[in-house]
Amino acid sequence: MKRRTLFKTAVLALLSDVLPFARAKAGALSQDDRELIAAIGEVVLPSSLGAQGRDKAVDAFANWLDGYKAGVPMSYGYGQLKFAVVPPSPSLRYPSQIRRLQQLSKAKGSAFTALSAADRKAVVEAALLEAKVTTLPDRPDGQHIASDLMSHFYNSSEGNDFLFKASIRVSTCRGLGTSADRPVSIT
Amino acid sequence: MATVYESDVCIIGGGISAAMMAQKLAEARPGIKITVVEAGRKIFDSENRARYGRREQEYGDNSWPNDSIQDQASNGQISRTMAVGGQALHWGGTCNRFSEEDLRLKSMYGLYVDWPMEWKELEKYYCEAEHRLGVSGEPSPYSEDWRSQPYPMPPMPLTYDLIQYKKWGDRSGYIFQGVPQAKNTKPWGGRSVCLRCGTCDICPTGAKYSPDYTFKDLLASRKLTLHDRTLVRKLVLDTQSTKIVAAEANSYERPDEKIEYRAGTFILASGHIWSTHLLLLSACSRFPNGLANSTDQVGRYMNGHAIYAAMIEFQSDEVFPGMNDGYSLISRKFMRSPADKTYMRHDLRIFPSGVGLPRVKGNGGRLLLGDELLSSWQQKQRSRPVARCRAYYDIHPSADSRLTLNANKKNRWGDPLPDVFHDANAATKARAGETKTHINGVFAHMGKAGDGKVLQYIDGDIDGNYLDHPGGGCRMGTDPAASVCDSFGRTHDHANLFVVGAPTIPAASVTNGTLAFVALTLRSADEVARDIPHSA
Repeated sequence: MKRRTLFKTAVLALLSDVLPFARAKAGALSQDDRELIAAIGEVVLPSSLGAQGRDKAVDAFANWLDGYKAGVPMSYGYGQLKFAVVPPSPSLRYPSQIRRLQQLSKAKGSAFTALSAADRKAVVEAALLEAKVTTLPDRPDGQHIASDLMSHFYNSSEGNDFLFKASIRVSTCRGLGTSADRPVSIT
Repeated sequence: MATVYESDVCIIGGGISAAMMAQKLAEARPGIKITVVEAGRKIFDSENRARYGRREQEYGDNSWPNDSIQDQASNGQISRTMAVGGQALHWGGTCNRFSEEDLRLKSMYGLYVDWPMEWKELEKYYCEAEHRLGVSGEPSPYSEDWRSQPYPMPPMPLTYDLIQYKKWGDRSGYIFQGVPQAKNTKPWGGRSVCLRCGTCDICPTGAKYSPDYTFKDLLASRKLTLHDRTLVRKLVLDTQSTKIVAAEANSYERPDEKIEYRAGTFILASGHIWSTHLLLLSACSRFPNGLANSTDQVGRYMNGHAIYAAMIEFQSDEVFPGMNDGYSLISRKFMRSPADKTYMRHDLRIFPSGVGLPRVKGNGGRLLLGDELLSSWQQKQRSRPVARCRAYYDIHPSADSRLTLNANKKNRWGDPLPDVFHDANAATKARAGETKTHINGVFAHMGKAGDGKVLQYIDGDIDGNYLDHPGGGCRMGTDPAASVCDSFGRTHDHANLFVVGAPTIPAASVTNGTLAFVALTLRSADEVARDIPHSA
């Protein structure tokens, strides 16, 4: 991550702590950010997804972060009477997490992206334990960038299809004609 | 000086009942002047609905932006939606019918009250409601659920997933079918066929009925005037008679301006809370407890049905969550209660379970990532699918199940806001334990029939003050001492004031109520149409 980007994001994170909904949207991710997320993806997403599938998952997550709008009213169901707004972008909490990943990587002798996959996995595991991540949130919530990446993937239409090895296509208008058919298998 | 608008009919409220009332009146009495006044705003930008739906799925944004008013809310309400279209903007489109037993509780079981109309009469209007909304469905397999006309559209095809759930459900001996829905399975009402987009809270194609379509059509053909962002705050009584002569309102755009709607007929179509609230707010020297309230019945018998649910695992072929999340199964087996046993009625629904995300923490507290995480999820998933099952059982309200005005909570104009407190009558309370035991037994039987078991029971008890599909507050009846209006919604105290839809129901049955509210409103519309002088 470029220092300028990091500084900007860190200031936003601080602002967000003081004024939780003061800012509607965090800055767009830099190329360095995306590369780091891709390096995390290599160790937290399944290998059977393949390099192309992982890249797509990382791009989708980065695009999701770019499209995030904090402070807009949230959806509500029956019985939910309190007004709630979309919380600050989870990306505001990533700079400190990334710093910690780099610290842990340094102990292994290199920057995070330059570590071997096994070392990167060990670093991410240590960071997730420190962040007390035990479950994946329904939506990325900033608890940790690695769990957010997994959450985003497994909650996506592509992730659902991957898990069930079938073309269910949750987020596509599919028509009624094929409703009764078993979704086509994905190998 | 107030700004004055005059019309033949003034409809207060802009939800599904208002839409149906306006549409039918415009057909029955062409040329009459109809004004609809709604506190919330119009959200007519149907071109943006696909985007709104996607953002709701991806980010949790409200798919109906600015669909409520923060300082116009009630304790005890279940939805804060206040916009043109009302709560039927967010609805799932489920169009179950009540059953004859609901109208004959007293005569069949010696419980609560009978409705002041015959089932055969209401059934006729159910058919009309299904036609106007555009309901797709298949007839119930139970002969007691007879219908005089077929559904206007064939049923929504069951998904591969729901077919597996139905196979399991049917093994229990309780026959399940897809719920009837106000979703098009063929082009209907100028709207398209459902494309199974999975964002039914906001339908991007218009296949799900939404009242805003009716309002847009009526506005385009100049059959009504719609004033949105305008809150009616008081009804005004004629000085010489018991007729209503005006509705006083304020606009959210120009809050200091006084607005007065004058009409020959006034129709409250603001749902069970705000219709009742307006009557109480309209107290005057001759009706010190509120209009239509000479016998202190307004605000009483607030009702709804309680929820009892369970997560049940069963043995099945593979399931694929997400095939059509807005669709579910119903069995109407328990909508009747044998006369020789304790009264017990409920519906029974099966909803497909969600995906169930992989667990990051494995056995022994070790973190699972990448392939290990996937493998762990696959092992868990290979075991047995889990269904969410739910029963609505009926709560017959006591007279103290009430909406009252809260003097300590006021809107921007200083009007006290409503409080709703639900209370069941003594007979309902007395059988509550037995009701739950019975439903537990039904769920356990379903688990066993599927070579599975109940994993969790979920009790949505009335003590939480939450009842689904609520209504009441202006109960219909023949006796003015025990009701607010007659079976057409005409208030006993004021010949030209009607209350329609949800507020008028004596009790809320054991299944979704919207279709009943619409059917009752359409019946009221016939009476209103007959009532309007032909000189109008």
